[in-house]
Amino acid sequence: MLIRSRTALFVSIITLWLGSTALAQEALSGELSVYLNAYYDPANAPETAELMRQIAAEYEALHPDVTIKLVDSLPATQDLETFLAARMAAGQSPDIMWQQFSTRNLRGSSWWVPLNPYFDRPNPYIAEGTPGHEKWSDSLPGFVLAQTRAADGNWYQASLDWVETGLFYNKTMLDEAGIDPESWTSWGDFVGDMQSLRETTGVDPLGMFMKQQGWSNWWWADDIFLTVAWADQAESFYMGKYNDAERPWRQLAAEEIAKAILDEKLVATDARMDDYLRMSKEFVSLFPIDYAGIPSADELDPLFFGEQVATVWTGTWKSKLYANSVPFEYGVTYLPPITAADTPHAQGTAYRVGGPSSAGQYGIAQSAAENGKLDLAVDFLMFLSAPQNFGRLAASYAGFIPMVAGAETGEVMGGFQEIAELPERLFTDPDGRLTLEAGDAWSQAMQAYFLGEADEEATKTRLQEIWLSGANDLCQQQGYEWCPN
Amino acid sequence: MTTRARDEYTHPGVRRKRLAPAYVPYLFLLPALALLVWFRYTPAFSAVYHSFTDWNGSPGANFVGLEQYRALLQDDIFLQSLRNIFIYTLARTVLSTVMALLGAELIYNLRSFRAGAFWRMVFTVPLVIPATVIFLVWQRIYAGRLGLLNEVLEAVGLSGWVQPWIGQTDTALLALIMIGFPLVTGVAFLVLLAALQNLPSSIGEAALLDGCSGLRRVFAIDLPSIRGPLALVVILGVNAGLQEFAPMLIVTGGGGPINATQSPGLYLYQQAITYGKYGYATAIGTVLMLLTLAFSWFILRSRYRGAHDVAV
Repeated sequence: MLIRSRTALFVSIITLWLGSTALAQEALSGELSVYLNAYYDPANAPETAELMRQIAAEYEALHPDVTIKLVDSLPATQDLETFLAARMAAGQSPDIMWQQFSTRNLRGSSWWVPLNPYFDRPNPYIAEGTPGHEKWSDSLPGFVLAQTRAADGNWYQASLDWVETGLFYNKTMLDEAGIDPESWTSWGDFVGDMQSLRETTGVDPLGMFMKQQGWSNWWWADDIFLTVAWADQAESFYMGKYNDAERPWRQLAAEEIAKAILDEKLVATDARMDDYLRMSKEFVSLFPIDYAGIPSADELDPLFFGEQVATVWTGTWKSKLYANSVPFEYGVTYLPPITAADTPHAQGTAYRVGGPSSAGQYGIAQSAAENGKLDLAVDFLMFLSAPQNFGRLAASYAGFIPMVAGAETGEVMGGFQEIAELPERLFTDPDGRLTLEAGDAWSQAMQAYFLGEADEEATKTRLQEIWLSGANDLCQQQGYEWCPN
Repeated sequence: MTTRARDEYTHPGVRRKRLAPAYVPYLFLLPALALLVWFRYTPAFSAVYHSFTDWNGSPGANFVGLEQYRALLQDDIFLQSLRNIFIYTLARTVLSTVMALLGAELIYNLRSFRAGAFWRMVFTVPLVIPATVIFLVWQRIYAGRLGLLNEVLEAVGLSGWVQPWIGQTDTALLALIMIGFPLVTGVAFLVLLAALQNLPSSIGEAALLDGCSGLRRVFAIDLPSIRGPLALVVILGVNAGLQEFAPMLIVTGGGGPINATQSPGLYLYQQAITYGKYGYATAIGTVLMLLTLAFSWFILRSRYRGAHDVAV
């Protein structure tokens, strides 16, 4: 009798639990606004946008009381940060919103909901037996999670895809100049070939630009040259809390950079920064003459298509456009290894510039939580991130590499396989190293150096000031336990 | 005279029927006044208040006294932005006023009504083009490679003059000043043309009879007669110039290179929107507001000094 009662009680509890789960699923209702960047850009990627509308409709069919409102991607000329700052101040941000992970992490919990507890939950939309079904975060690779974690230890976004970059080159032009990218075995080879290309053809070798504020593809070069200068010191910069046994070599977190600066291990006036400056200047000398006046990366495309530049350093997101638009034969290569002959601290390798700076980075706005939409937002994000949904989207757009377990990579990786196997950069882009302000100040100091307004010594002194001030600002914002009082 | 008498009689001997109580017109003004106070004065006073705090955009801020203003005085970028904007405002105001006056005088002196109407339309139609489009077009004109200006220079054999116009500190600010060249179009042109056309024709005829040449008439009669509209044009030019930030944001990508085109308005925007330093940004805004008020006051003072067209 007792056993029967216990069994009945157990069955009742299970039934109640299942019922409440079902109820919770059924209880989802309301309107959810979703900004998906390139994955919902009807003006520029109509096929992918149509697919996204279909995926949203499938979700609405599962949850009849829910309406998914897809927000068009902003045009490239509109400043997304302004768009977002105004809406955040008014509590009217899209509930699920794209933002660059480095900027998002600096905004932190004042704008975004920490996703840590939800990452530990099962994702009911991922099939049983597929990573992520029992624990959502299992559907994302460890290195993606490691790189997108904020300085305060939280995850404010689910990073569903990845981007790789490469040097798209005009094969015809390089052939005519007798240049074979496969033959580059050192930095010296590369610079020599690029200089001779300009002499023989009169064409600018590198399609690159540099802005005084915000991202430009020069930042990637800066990451690499800084990495080369300090690679042999990486071990002494790493903090145990960020270490990952599977990734003995990894990118530095902002906290590690700040600590290394304040511990005087990372010093911009150090002699090793001479090589950083020299290589940076050599590289910039290969840019178009108005590199400091080119407003955006998209402006490099007509220069490349019109054979005004021989190469463009850009990313997988351009693969489809280039395949359809480039009027000559082109290939994808990469910067060569930087060897000890180039600079004494080099470790004889190139470093890939790739990462989560892609279209599939989504966080949930605090305003969604305040408006009672958190459960709905988390549920839709789980639905979207399931491989059967996000995989379709990524394949359609063909500009980013899906990171969700079970999603196919597709053609987008053509030409990028070898690059993806290179070690990652020790330093991320300047805006993610310490603070946004320190990142822009770094760009301006380097611009002054390149345009001849500051010499090496003055530049090193200025860079050190920026590092110290950025490290102190980050300390003040985050209140790390090791920070000086 | 009693109050009642003042209400009923505007002029001695003329009786006027009272239509409504005296406060009624003020009731009609009330909605406009409320909107003005809510959307114009409140933000301005709020900005002044927040300039004494360390507000970061989130609710709550600490009072920091004059700290933001002290920091401003030590901020090299802000000081450079002030220098840039004074040069930009002076050059743009002088150029656009002179060119607008030139255009207005040329049309005013046309004898054919049809020709006048045609040229007036030619000069005013560009007013409907959004400023952002104009900036994007000029960005293309100044581009180093494939830019129209450099292409034209090369085509006429002036390859030595080819430059990265907005990519170097020497020419970037000048490039912004010259946007919209020849600068005839705009409100300034319309205001000055209307002022000239409102001058009594008898003055011009008398000057002609006295043997006054066209150029002398411009300086001796036209300019003194349109001092009011000229002052308005200059005030509008100075106000717009001091607060300018769109061309710096759009054409030179954030005030570059190396802050050569940085302006206080853009710097304010960057501090608030990009870095979340709203307290600092409101201090910049307050300084900008005081500068604009001060310049407007000086221009108005100089307009009324010795003026013949108004009683002071």
